[in-house]
Amino acid sequence: MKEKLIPIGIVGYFLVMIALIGVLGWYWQNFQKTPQQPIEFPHNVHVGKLKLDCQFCHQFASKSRFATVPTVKLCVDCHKTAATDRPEVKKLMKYWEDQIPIEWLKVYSFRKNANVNFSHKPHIRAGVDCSTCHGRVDQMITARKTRNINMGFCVSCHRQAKAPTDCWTCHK
Amino acid sequence: MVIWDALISQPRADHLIVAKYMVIVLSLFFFPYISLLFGSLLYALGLNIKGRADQNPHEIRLSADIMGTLGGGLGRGFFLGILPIMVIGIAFAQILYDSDFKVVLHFGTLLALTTLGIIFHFFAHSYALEIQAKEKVFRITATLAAIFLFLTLYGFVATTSLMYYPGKWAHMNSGLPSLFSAVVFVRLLWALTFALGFAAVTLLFFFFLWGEGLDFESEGYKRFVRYFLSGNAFLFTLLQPLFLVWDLYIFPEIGKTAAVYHWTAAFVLLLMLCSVFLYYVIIKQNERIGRAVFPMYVVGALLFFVGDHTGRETAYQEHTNYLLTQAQQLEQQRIVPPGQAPEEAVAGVELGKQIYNIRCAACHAFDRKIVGPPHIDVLPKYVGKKEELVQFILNPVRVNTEYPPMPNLGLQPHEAEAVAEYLLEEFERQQQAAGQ
Repeated sequence: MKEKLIPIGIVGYFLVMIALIGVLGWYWQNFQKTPQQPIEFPHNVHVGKLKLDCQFCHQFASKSRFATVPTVKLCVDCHKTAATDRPEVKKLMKYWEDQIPIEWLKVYSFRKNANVNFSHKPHIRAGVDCSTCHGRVDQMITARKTRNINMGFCVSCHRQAKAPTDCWTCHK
Repeated sequence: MVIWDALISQPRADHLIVAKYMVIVLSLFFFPYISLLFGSLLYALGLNIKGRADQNPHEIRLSADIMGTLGGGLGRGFFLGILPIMVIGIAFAQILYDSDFKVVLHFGTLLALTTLGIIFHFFAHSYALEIQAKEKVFRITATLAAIFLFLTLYGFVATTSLMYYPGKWAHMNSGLPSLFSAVVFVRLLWALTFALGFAAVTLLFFFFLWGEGLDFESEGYKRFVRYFLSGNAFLFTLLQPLFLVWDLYIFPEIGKTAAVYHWTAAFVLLLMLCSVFLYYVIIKQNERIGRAVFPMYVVGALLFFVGDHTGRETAYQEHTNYLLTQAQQLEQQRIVPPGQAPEEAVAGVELGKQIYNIRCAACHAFDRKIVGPPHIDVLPKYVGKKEELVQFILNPVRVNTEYPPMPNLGLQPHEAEAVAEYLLEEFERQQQAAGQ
């Protein structure tokens, strides 16, 4: 009996480990993976190749807490004539014709219980380069998270830049 | 190091693919070989010390047999340890070309540690053959070899883990900070259990199944060797999934892909088969049951390296995209007809034309509206006012609300001037042609 139980126990132990890998994979797939955007916007073409400034599209980065995504009209202004044969541009034009806003998915966010009151405005005005937090967007297709924006990341940068490190600076 | 640096040139797309497979294949030589040397050395050293303390001849004999079977051979050490780490370093110098990752520093250190580890292992092997006479020297050289081989494994794990954090590369002025992180700690624990498991499995294979095997002096000694090796192989095979799962739990998000999970699960599945076989080797006292374990361990290591490299590639994919863009530009330069000067050497109108075709022509044309207005409509007001046109190109403002605002293209003043010169000259030429 014992001779049979031990191999079953060994197999069971390994199957539990494989199941744990499956659970971790499932968690990543559903909660951590960079979201699939409704349109595969190539940042590498617009920022990397055409050298558009980030704020050409994310117009409120220097004016408000949120960088904001561009209006469909801003995209259409150029794309009603530029690269109209591309499938992703056709998708864009469909949104425009139907007058439906594009539901872009957030790539970066803070946990709600972290109570972080982050604002883009002071960072842009202090001359912090967008890539400091968002990585080499000029080489990305759709944007993805390349930095783990946690408290250590923020505080070390604030210290280097001699920016305030008081709790109230970020947590309200 | 300077020579190594000078040998590395801007990689092309196909170079990057070759470099990727070189890293995977050569890691499969380097890592298991160093693991094998380190694991077997620990067994040999431990058995020697314990055997003397317990006055157990089997343990002392097995210590010498381990060193006699797997030790020595500087040539083997060169081809399986030193050469692979050099080539892996060169492959990474290509993959991470023009990045902040200090390839020469990391792989130069690894090369030195590997060389020292292999040399001291060679000495330990030589003294192990005359173990009665020079046991003290054997222990000293074996300890030094174990230290250097441990540092090699530690350094390899730390270096390959650091590649998961492109954001940290610029701040790493030495390799030391890369040694201390949770990911490196967990991976090192896995590497040590792999080394001890793989060494026991390999010794089991060579002592019992390879050719005529070891010449056992007695049945009692044979039983002791079988039990010792299969027991250790079983224990360290059981421990590995714990660290692999832990590693996935703290794995950097930037490197996560579905493939990492698939390959790790496949590796754990192989470890499961190995454990069951090893269990029956212990119970049935029959080593032939475990003959598949050694090749399965090698395949398992391959699965791990494929998964690990896929994760690394995901982590630095922006850098790869950058290299591919650079490679494309390099290729375009290569197809410029012979005799034509490269862009840097071109000035004035010709430079302006080149910049215009790359940067402006996507939105503008002379005679028709694309995204922006046709030049024939807007250029007349700049005739004779080149400086105003240059200022507009450098700091565009919205003039006509029928058109979207022109983005700032970030041109250098001399580039904007060249574009303005080209536009005005081409405009004048077209006007003259229209007048005729």
